[in-house]
Amino acid sequence: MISERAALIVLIGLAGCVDRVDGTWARINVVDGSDAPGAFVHDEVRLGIENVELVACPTMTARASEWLGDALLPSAYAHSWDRSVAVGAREESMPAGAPERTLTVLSPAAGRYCSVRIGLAATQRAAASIAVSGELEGARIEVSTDLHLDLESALEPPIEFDVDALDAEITFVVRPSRWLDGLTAEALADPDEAAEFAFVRNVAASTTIAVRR
Amino acid sequence: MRWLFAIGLVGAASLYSTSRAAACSTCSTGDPTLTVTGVEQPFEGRTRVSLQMQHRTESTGERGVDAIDISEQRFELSGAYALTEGLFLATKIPLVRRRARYVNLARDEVMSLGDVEAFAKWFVYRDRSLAPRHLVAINGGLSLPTGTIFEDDQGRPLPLEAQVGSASLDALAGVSYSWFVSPFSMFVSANVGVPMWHGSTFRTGAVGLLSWAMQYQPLDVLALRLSLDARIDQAVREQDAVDPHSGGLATVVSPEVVLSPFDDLVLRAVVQLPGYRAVRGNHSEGVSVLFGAAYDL
Repeated sequence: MISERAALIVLIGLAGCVDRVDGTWARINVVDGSDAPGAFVHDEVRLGIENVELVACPTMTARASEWLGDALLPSAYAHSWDRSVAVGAREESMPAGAPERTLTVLSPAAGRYCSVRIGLAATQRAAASIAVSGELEGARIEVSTDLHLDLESALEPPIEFDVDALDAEITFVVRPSRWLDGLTAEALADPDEAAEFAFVRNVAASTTIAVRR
Repeated sequence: MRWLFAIGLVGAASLYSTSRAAACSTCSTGDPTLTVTGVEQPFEGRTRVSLQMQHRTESTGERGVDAIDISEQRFELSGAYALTEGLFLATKIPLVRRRARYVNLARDEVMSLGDVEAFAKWFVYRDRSLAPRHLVAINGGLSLPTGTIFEDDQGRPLPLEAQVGSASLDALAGVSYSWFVSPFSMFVSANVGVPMWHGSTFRTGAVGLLSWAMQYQPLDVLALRLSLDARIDQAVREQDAVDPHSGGLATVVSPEVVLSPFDDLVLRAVVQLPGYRAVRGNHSEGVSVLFGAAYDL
């Protein structure tokens, strides 16, 4: 017959079992998508990554509460939409023509997402939010800014994550060759505020996204 | 299948170890009250085994942000043995299957031995030896960290919601009062569980349990029972941060049918309805059902 001790040994010896099913994932990439070089030929780009976000589409309730918040309390900040965020300041350095690289992989909640955003900032890990070096008008040049910049793009159509569509790949295509459009080597030798703003505007205006599912 | 085999082994071992068969339990106590597991009247040598099956659901966290939906099936094998007329020794061995579903549609499904409890119940007052009407008992014991701690692919523990055990060694203590005046009976208890040692990154807190149950037994073989349970939990700490969706007061109202188709066998069917709640963050429980069978050897 089997004793209590034997039964206890059998019980303790039995390890548990686990079955795991992975959920959603959204890989956020960045790639240097510079086309034919113009006046500016870059050789390196550095991005001060502060965070990466997928922003959920506002629900009807969120829209209503935002409208009410704005109507009743004009100064209230009622924009608290759900989002999936990866935080972790670091510097991403890319030589010209570098292949696509992954910034982060998010695991968003099931639902619809209307925009994607990379927050760029000068942090302890990055001296500048954006920096680029290269040649402009035959002169060696390096431009940087520590202004906070959101590279944000609407997802059209929105990305929906559900049991039948668990993954997505979103790539930010930056075009450093166009970042100094309208600027001269002379203006950038000692850049004023206007030159810095023009540089930031060029970065934002020349960035696009590509979505793969 | 391995678990069923193990439970069978334990049952067989209990049967084997019972060297003498007692007379019918109601004859020995002198009271016809049908008692469910945990509220037995004591007599020397009383040996009772029981098996309970419970299904429950639970949700924590904020929808669309960090919500986790939990579904749990618990099979609990219990054994109680009265060493003397006033001292019960008891153990509970749970087998737990748990499924946690996260907002990102990931899912963890685990099954393992849960936390085994071993405790003693000492009846410190009984108004008379046979067919007592008033029983007061104190109990103390341990909840052992026998539940497997499940980890992800990187070796990090899964969230507490996906674990079958608390990964802690808990001291249990309590007091109870039973009242028997056929066809009515009542049971009141207060218990606390205090963690003394933690074996994982999450830290479950102390828990307090208050129970009140009233039973009406219109027939020898049938009783109707209504109980009210309150549970007060200290918040859980995970990686030294307080889980915002843990801790607080939750009550449960449980109507129950108790049936004894033949001597020494008591069957029960319970529906547990969530009642008043005052909990931190978002935490809700669904209706749970429990079926149990207890047999006096």
